[in-house]
Amino acid sequence: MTSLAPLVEVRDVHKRFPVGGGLFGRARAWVHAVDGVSLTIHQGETLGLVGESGCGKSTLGRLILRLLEPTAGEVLFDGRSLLALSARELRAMRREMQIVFQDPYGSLNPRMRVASIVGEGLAIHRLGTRRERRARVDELLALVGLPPDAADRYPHEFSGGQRQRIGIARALAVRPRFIVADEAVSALDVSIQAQILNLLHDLQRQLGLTLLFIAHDLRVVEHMSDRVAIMYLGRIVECGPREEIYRNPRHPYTRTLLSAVPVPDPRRRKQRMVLGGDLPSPVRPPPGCAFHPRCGHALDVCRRDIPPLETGRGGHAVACHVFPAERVSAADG
Amino acid sequence: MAETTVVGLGSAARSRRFFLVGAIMVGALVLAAAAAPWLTPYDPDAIVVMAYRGPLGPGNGHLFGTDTVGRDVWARVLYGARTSLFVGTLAMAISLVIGMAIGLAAGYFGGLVDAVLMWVVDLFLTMPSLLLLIVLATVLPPSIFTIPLVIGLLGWTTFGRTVRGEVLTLRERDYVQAARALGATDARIIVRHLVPGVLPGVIVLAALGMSGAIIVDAGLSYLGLGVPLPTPSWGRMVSDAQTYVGVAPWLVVAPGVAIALAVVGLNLIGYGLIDLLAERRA
Repeated sequence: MTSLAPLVEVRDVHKRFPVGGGLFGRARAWVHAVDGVSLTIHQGETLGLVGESGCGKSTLGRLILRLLEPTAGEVLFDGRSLLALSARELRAMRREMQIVFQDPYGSLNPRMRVASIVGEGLAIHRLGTRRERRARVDELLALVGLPPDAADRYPHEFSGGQRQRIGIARALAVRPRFIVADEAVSALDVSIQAQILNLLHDLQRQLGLTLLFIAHDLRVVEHMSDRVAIMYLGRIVECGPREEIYRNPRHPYTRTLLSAVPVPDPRRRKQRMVLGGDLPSPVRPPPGCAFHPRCGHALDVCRRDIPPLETGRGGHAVACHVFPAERVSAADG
Repeated sequence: MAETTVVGLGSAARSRRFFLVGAIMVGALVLAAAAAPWLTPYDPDAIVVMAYRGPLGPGNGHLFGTDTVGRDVWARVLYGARTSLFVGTLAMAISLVIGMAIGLAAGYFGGLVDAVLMWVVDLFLTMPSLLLLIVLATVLPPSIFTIPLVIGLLGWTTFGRTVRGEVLTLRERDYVQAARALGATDARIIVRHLVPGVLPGVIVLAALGMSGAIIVDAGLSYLGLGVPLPTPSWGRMVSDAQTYVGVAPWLVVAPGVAIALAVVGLNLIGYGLIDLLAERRA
C-alpha cells in the first residue's frame, strides 16, 4: 500500500514548550517535545507510532492536526500546507482529519446526549437538515456497533469501550480521510482493546481511511499497521514497513521494546532486554544520541553526534551509529 | 468530583435538607412579594391611623402594628419584599453577566487577555467597595435601578474568578479539543461546552451573591442611601425605627426578621446546591 500517494507529510517539525517563568517572565527552560520530525503517511495506510510516555508522540499527533502550533517546520495535508491556512480555511479543512482520544471519560462532554456528541461535526459544518443529521447519527451508531437507543442517552451510561465507540463515531461523522488514534485503546481492558482495534481496522478498510495509530505498546500496533515508526525523546529513531520492524529491528531501543512484548507461550523463553533507568528529561536531553545513556552498545561517537535518520533497504530507516540502516543493494533496484 | 471552588457540606442528605429549608424560606418571601395586595388591605405608603398617638403595637387589625408615621408595618414588610427581591435579583444578574463574560474570556483565551482581565479583577478587589458604593450611590441620580446597578457593577469579581478557574480546567478536557478538531469556532466551544460546564458553580454563586446584594442594599438603605423614599425598604425601616427600639421594638423586629429570612434562605439554597449539583454529575 505504500506505493500510494502521500496524504500527510511532516517536514522537520519542532515543538518546544516553556517551563517555568511567569505571565510576563521569560521561560526558564524549554522542553523539546518534538525535535525535528519528518515523516510521510500514505493514502490508505496505517502508520503505527510507538514510544514511551513523554516521548512526544501525542504532541506530534496534535501538531499534525494543528491542534498545537509547531514551533518550526511544516505539515502538508494532501499537498497543502496546514500552517498557511487562515483560521476559517483551517476550520473547513478539519472535516478531512479527525482524532480519537485516549481517555474515554474525558473525551465526551458529560452534559451532552450521544446524538449531540456524534452529530456535533455535522452541526458545525452544517451538513444536511436536522432530520438528515439525526439519520446519519443513527447510521454511525450502527457502524460502530452501538444500539440505536444510545442516541438519547448520556455518556455516563456507557462503559469505557462503548464510550470509545462513541468517540470513533464522532470522528467518522464528518467523513474524514485521515484519523489520528491517540492511544485510542490504552485506557481499555485487554479484552475490550481487541474489540476496538478490530473495529478500527474494519472501518479503516471499509472507508479507505488513512490512520496514524499512536501507542506505547508495540504489540497493539502490530496487527493494525502497514508501517511503524519508533519515537524516542522527540525524534524518530526507526521507521519502516511492519515486517521489517518486527523481524529485523535494528535500533537497540526498538529491540528493547520488542523484547518487552510478552509472548503467550510458556515454553518459549526469550532473552529479555531490560531498559535501565528512566526516560531522560527532555528539558536537558543527553548530548549526541539521546538513547546512549541507556544503550548497551554506545560508542564515543554516540555521546558526541546525533545520528541522522537514514533510509536503507526496503524503506527501513534507522537513526543509529552502531546499527545503521542496511545499504540499498543493486538487487533492490 | 466537585468542580465548584466553594466547599460543600459533605453529606447529600444534609445538603438536601439545607436546600429544602432555604427554598421554603425564599419561596415564602417570593409569595409574599407576589401576593402582597391580597395579604393586606392597606397601602404600604398610606397613613392608616385616624388619630396619631405614636406607633401602635401589634394587634387591632395591624399584624405588626403601625410605624412612627402611622403606616401599617405588615403592609410595608410585604411590599418591602418586592424591593429587596428586585434589588437582589437585578444586582446578582448584573454581576453574573459581567463575571461570566470576563471569566470565560480570561480562562479561554488566556495569555494577554487573561493577564489584563485579572488585573482588572484585582483592581476591583483592592478598591474599598463600601466606600465606593456610598460615593456612587450619592453621586448617581436616585432611582430603584441605581442601587442594584452599583452593587452589581462592584460585585462581579467572585463570579469572574470562579468562572475563570473552572474554564482553565475545562478547556484542557479532551471533549473541548475534540470540538476544536471538528472545526468548532471559539464562540461555539464557549457556548456549547464551557458555559454548561461552569453553570452549576455559577448557580451556587448566584444564590450566595443575591443574599449578599440584599444585605448590602439593607446596609445602604440603613445609611439613607437606598432606593428613593416612598418605596418601602427593609433597611430603611430598621434605620427609621432605631430610636424607637425601646418603646416600639416591633418596628425593628419585623423588617429585621424579613432580612434575615431572605439572607439565610438564599445561603441555605446556595450551600445546599453545591453538593446536590456535584452529586448529579457523578
